[in-house]
Amino acid sequence: MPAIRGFGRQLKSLIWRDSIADQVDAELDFHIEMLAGELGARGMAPDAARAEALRRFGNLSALNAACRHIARGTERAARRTEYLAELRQDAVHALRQLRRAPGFTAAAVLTLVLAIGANTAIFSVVSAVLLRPLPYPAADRLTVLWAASGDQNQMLVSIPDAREWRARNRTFDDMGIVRNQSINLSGIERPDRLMGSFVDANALRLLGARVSLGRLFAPEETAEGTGRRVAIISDALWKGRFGGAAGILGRTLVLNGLPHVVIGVTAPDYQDPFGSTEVWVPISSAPNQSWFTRDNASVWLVGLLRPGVIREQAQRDLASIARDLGTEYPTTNAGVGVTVLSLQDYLVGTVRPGLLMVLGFVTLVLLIACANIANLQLARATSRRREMSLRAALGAGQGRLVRQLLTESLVLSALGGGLGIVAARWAVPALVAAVPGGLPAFGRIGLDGPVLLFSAAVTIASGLLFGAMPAIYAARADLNDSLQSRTSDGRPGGSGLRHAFVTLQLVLCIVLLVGAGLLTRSLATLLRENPGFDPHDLLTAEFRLPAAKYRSDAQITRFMADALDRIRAVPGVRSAALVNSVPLSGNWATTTYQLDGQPPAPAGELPTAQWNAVTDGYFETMRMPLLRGRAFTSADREGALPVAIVNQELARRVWPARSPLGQRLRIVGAPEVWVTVVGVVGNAKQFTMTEPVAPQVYQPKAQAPGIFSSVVARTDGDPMALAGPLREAIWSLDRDQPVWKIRSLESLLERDVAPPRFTTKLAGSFAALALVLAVVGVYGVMSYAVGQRTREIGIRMALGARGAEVVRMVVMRGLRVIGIATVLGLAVSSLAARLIRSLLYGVSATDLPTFAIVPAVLAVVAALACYVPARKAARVDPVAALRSE
Amino acid sequence: MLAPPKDRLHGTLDALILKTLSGGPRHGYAITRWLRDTSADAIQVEEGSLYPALYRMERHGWIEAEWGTSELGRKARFYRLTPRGRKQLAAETERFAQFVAAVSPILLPA
Repeated sequence: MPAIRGFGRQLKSLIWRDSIADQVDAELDFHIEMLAGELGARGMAPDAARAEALRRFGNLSALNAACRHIARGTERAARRTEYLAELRQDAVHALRQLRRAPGFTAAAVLTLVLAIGANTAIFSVVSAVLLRPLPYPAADRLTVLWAASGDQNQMLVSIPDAREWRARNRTFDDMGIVRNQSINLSGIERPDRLMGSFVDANALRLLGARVSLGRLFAPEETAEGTGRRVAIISDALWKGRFGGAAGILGRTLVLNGLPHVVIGVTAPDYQDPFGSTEVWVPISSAPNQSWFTRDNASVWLVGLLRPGVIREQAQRDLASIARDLGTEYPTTNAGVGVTVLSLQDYLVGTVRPGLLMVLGFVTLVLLIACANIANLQLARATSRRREMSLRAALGAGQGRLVRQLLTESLVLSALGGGLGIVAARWAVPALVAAVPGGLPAFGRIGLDGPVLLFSAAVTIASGLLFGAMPAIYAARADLNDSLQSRTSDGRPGGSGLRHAFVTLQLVLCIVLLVGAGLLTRSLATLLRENPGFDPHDLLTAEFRLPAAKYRSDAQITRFMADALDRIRAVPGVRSAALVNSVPLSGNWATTTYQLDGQPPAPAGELPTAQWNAVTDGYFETMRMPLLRGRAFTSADREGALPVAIVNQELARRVWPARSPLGQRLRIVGAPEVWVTVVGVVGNAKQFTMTEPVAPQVYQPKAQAPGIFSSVVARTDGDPMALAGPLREAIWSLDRDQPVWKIRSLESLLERDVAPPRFTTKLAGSFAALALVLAVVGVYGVMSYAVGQRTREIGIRMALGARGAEVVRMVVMRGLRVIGIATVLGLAVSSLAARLIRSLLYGVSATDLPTFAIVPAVLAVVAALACYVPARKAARVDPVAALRSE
Repeated sequence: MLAPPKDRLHGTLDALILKTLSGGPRHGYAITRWLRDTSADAIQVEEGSLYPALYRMERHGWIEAEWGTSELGRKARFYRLTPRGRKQLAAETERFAQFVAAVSPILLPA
């Protein structure tokens, strides 16, 4: 029986392959039989002997299970040890193999350094800007609230409305009032403008503001009526301007002409989400009492959503309150809606599409790089078939071979990834510094934990991506075929796979080229756009008169007129004017208007226009064309006939068939006034170069006085050279008056187009890198194919084919791949282009020139990449080629 | 410091097995036979304890197992002492000697 049982056990082990269970069974069986044998030898009957042996073992099945359990653990540990040993062995082997092919290794590692480095660098920005939580308590519930009217959705809110929103809503825990505006600091040696923020106590509390010295505002200190003249300054201002002086608390600063007592210094790491604020003052210290009336929108709000409330619910809630207010106060609130934005969206919403696009670009570049390396690996795999076959013949299983080759790929990607991360470490600061206008990131942008984790994942994924297919292919290398000779059939194996990789590369490359092409065309359109004025040799500056010092309109107008005279007298100034909002400066205003002879409509239903107040000489200084009528003169002063000048667009919309001259408009606002149109000027860009043409209306500054003004001056030569004299001209009138933002209009224009220029450059560079990689890929595959087909080409030439025919044959084969890739690439591009539509200006996502030029460029470059190896093929010596077999 | 009794017991069984194997490879049955014969039937290792101990020590790397052919021509699993097992035996013996040295003057006063 033992023999049969043994056989049965062997059979079972063949079927179940549970060698541990079998071994334990066999071992215990053996012991039992030996014991039974011993007892038998002492005279026990065989059956009784066996029973006694079993009895001594006690609970046999429990013992058996316990032994198996321990043995399994032992085996697992052994397997792990063996695996690690193999891994080490594979890694060492891989390094040796890579050293043996320095050209391949260098090309692959360089490609990976570029691709993984770019991905790491871009992701570090994405992670810091888009993924990192904002440094505010309950940041995911913080929102920013605006009024909305017509196509304007981020308009200021009046303080009485803000109070109603806060009192009536059912979706917010609380709301706070904010208005960031510059504040004049005077009473010191050199008057200056500080970045200011007018807030109520709630706003600072909701934003989690912290002080390192003193305290925050108490509610009664910021309320209208009970407000006190107190201020909190930033850590930077304290340490910078005040040298970190210990006695800062209790010190009095003259802000906007009024004394304020410093009661706190913010913590060094507290950052105002709405700007780099240097001084906070209570909203009750507003520069103008009109801030508190319902007909003056003057603030925005921060709102903390109730837990569980989503933005849309809050939007609906406030919208219904806004509608009620429209009914209750029709003259001011009719048609005025509300916008609820998450703080995150408010801060990064504008950069998100561009950032995600660039991230998409580098991802595709990485895929192209992987396809490239996969093809290089395939080519190597074919030449390494003998090595593989030998190893297989020596007993290495297919899985073992795949693992060894994959390890090789992973070692390669680890080399590239490691160096890529080093490269990114160096590149990230340069990248961040190059971003125009800076990035809205809180905290450092750099290689932190999440970024390194991402890079490690990308590195491993790349290794698997470019390693898997070639490894499987190589390990499958046919034993019989390769041990005898190298492949000698005309079409070496793996050519289908190689063509697939090249096609993939070309398709992705086309997508990137189309993307970069669209962005370039968009940028070109933008740069060709006429701003409506001549930005060269124009100097601008801003100032705001303290309301406490210039109490009457007459005083303000007097100062403005005197200032203008002094500025015009500065040597080098050819002409100058004052204006409320300089184009592209970030300042702008809108108004609603009513036409003469039309019944008065509720505020929300009136047409809107961009509004500006300018002195005489403005249109001349800006070189804006006067199309009809006259420009403003110094005679358009207070008390004279209220006049206005409209732009071409407003004239076209309102009086398409009539002359606008002599028509009357009611400019809505306080004080409301009927103005007579005396001239028509050309359209001008106001907020940004990409804004659509809008109706614009200008009033003489003397008939719409205000404490804020900008200067524009046309200069002889470099405008910035006159920055000092311009400031001195104003200081010669009032030594305490700060003047700021002294800039050239060209710099404003440049600033406006810098972000798209930067994104386009970045996208263009990555597309160029993709093109180089793709061309190298095509070249590599074609050279390889030619090399493999030397014999076939030799035969053809021996049979009389001429060099030119061989060239054509090879190029045609390459063109077929290129043709297929182009068709696929354009199809994918037309889908992908939709994703970047929001980034395009004046160019459609299906821009025909782009979709025509890109494949043409690619075809020419790729055909060249085929031509070079084809020429080499044509020079094949038929005799040598045939003899080489 | 003396080890707690349970451990001491374990350690003693391990030491006995290791000692048995220091004379050359043996299978489980042969180990019990040798211990019984050498101790003049005083030590009867229970099979229920022997095998878990053997598997445990294999896991520790003190002994290695290999299938071989027994004296009677049957396939049997033979255990052999590893260098680590030899060290372990030395250490256990040393500990046991200390134990005896510590306990003897009390239990067996001269």
